[in-house]
Amino acid sequence: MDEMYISFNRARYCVRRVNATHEIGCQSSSRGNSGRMYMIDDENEFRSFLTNKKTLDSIGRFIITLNIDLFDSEHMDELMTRLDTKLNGLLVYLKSNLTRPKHFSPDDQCPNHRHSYYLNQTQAVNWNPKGNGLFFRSFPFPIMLIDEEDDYKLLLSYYQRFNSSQSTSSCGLELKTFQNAAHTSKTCMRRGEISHSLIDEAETLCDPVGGLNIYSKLSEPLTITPKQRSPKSVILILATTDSFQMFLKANGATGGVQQPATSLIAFLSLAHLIGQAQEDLNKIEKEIIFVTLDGDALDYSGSFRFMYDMENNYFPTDSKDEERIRKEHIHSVIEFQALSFTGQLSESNLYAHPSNLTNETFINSLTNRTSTIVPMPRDAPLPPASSQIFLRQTSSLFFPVYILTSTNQSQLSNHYYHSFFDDPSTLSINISSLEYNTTTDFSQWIKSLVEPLAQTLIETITGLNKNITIEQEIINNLVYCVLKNINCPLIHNVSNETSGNSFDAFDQTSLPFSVNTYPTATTPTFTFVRNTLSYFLRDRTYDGLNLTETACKEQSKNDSFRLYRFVGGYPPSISTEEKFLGYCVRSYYRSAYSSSPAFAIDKYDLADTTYPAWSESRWSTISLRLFIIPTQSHEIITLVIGILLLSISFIAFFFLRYFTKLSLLQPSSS
Amino acid sequence: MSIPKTRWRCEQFHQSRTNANNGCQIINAQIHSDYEESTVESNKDNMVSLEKKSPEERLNICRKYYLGGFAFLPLLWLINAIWFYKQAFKVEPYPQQAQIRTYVIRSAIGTLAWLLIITIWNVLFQVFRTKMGPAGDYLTFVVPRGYY
Repeated sequence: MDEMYISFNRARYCVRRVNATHEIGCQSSSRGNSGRMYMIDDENEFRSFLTNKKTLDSIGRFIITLNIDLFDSEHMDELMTRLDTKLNGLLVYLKSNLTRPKHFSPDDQCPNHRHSYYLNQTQAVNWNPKGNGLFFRSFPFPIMLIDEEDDYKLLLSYYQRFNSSQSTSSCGLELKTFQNAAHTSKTCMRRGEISHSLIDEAETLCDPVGGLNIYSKLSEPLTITPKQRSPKSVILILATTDSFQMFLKANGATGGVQQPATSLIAFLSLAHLIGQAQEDLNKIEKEIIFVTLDGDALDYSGSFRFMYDMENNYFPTDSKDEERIRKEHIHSVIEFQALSFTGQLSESNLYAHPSNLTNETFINSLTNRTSTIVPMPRDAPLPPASSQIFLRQTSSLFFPVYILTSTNQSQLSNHYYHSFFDDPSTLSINISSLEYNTTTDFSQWIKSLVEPLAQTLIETITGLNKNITIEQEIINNLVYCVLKNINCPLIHNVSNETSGNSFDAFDQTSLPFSVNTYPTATTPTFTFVRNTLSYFLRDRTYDGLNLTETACKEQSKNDSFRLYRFVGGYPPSISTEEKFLGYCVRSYYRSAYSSSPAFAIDKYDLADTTYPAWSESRWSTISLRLFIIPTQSHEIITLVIGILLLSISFIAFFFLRYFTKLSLLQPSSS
Repeated sequence: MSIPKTRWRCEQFHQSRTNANNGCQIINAQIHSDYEESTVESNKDNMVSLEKKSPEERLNICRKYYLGGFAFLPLLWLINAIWFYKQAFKVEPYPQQAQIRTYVIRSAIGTLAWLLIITIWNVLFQVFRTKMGPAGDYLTFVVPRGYY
């Protein structure tokens, strides 16, 4: 072996997160955890390893290399109790993408049960039955994962070469994933602010979880004072923009396709349909507001913040004269959550709650329009969804919620819920051959899902029965942008030049779905959602106006509620015959911080569990290295030779000094 | 220290390639011993020798160290006790010795008291740092990363 260390740069790692009461995740020492590598490939090897007293006693520290099929709570518990402090780290490996486990979810069996609508009920429904819950446990050692096939092959080749018998040298691994956070959010945030003097700067140890809640609607009508908003006049459409995974990778696939990418695509398509029908909708006093929530994967932080903003008259933000929306004004909430596509005959399930407020006509007309939406029985328990918090904070007295999700007999259809395996292959999409305008089964299914929903919505609001349709091309483009390459023509067409240029850094990457923290890291998600959503809901009368960029800027001077930007224009969305080089887009959108109210309320005790208080740790270097541990005899020989050389050099020096006439201590001549 | 002329002569010997090694060695030895003597003398000049001071001066120094220790400087007391121990107890009595003796005893007591205070505080802080809550964190100068 030529080098001393072999680095694995594409390894995934597990990080520390803290909340009001606990810390979760993994921690290594600042210099890295190293130990002797021991590979366990299947159940038999696992059993024999645990009973092999000789190996266990002879080696001081282990780094166990575990097959991902064995990575669940039973095996982990057995390993940790048997090895105790000798277990210095864990490296999980995936042999190849073709042999991925059928189910892999590090989330709990009942996701988000800490802050759910059913908090005080004893019988929990296990929506995620194969969830091993390892994400929410705290490990005192680092855990990393290698998912690249050539990384695995390299590791295996070294292991087989060097670990054949006890007498030869063996492989060692060093895992370095030092995390700054400790104990709870309260301790971490407090320590991050301690600064003793002018020269001792405070060092932030962790960042609160949260991104942006973005909402948009048709730019007319607006309820500006003194015009009062009538009760039950606002319909909210919800989707989330975040997910989490136990094993992160810088610049790698984040998963999150079945939740929230599919929901986000359906959400944006519905927005376009509503935008298409704006002429009829603008005549009615009701508003449809599209809201994306960020931070809901971890205890619904975004939803709590949204409801908190609503209670405190911060919704909508930044509008001085616009009448605030409160819970009395909400007519209903429709949410897209965890939609899975399992084939052309896929169905999605419609949950509605509470039964005394739900509109049976709405449900019936929706389910009669299409066979892809199946209604769930009355008072069926709700799956994990942001709407649960909307109900909880209003005691389910004000408005009904409708959740469109994919479940199968009280189980989520997603086998890879909140894990990095949740990628486009689960939607039967061949991502490598996907082009900008490829029509896949999945995009056709989305079209068959959102069109009836839009038609039913419009019928419920206006009474008109419009056979509104969306161009398949638009959905194809959305699928391409979200799942394959965010730097796509669509986003450049709907953004102005500066916004569009910010996507060049994310060329050939899909939209990342991960835990967002505040201060927000550079993620293209919010810019993408903001620009696309506001464009789809734009004032379409401006498509026919041939305005220049300066004229567009002039418009914004007179209008403080709507935003104007000059874009290239997205052809499939423009229905006018005349095409121009650029279009002025008149739209309405707002962004609000989505970190939990725990971080927004002044003097809130972060140890209080009323609101979730998740924070993510900061870290600097992550590394995984392989090295060779020489045999005992090799080490002894090296030491002896070293001491011998030292003594010989001392003796030689004395001889030189004593017997030669050269005085080595002669002061130098100036 | 300027290089003495004997050194230059040695160099010239080498350059003329005459077999004058012995001469050079003697001169080198002289230089070496000269250097040693001068350094030893200079060291002696810097260090205070209590024998050379008059008894009044000795008392003065002792008093200064004793009073200085009250400014939260226990090391002054420690040095006072150790340095003047011989003067206070072992040397033949002279008029100022009684006063020096009291100073030495009091310095020793002060040192012990400080040692006790510092040790107790050290142990308490290490045991109760995390249990003190925010106070523990604000007292810590280098806040630990990654561990509670």
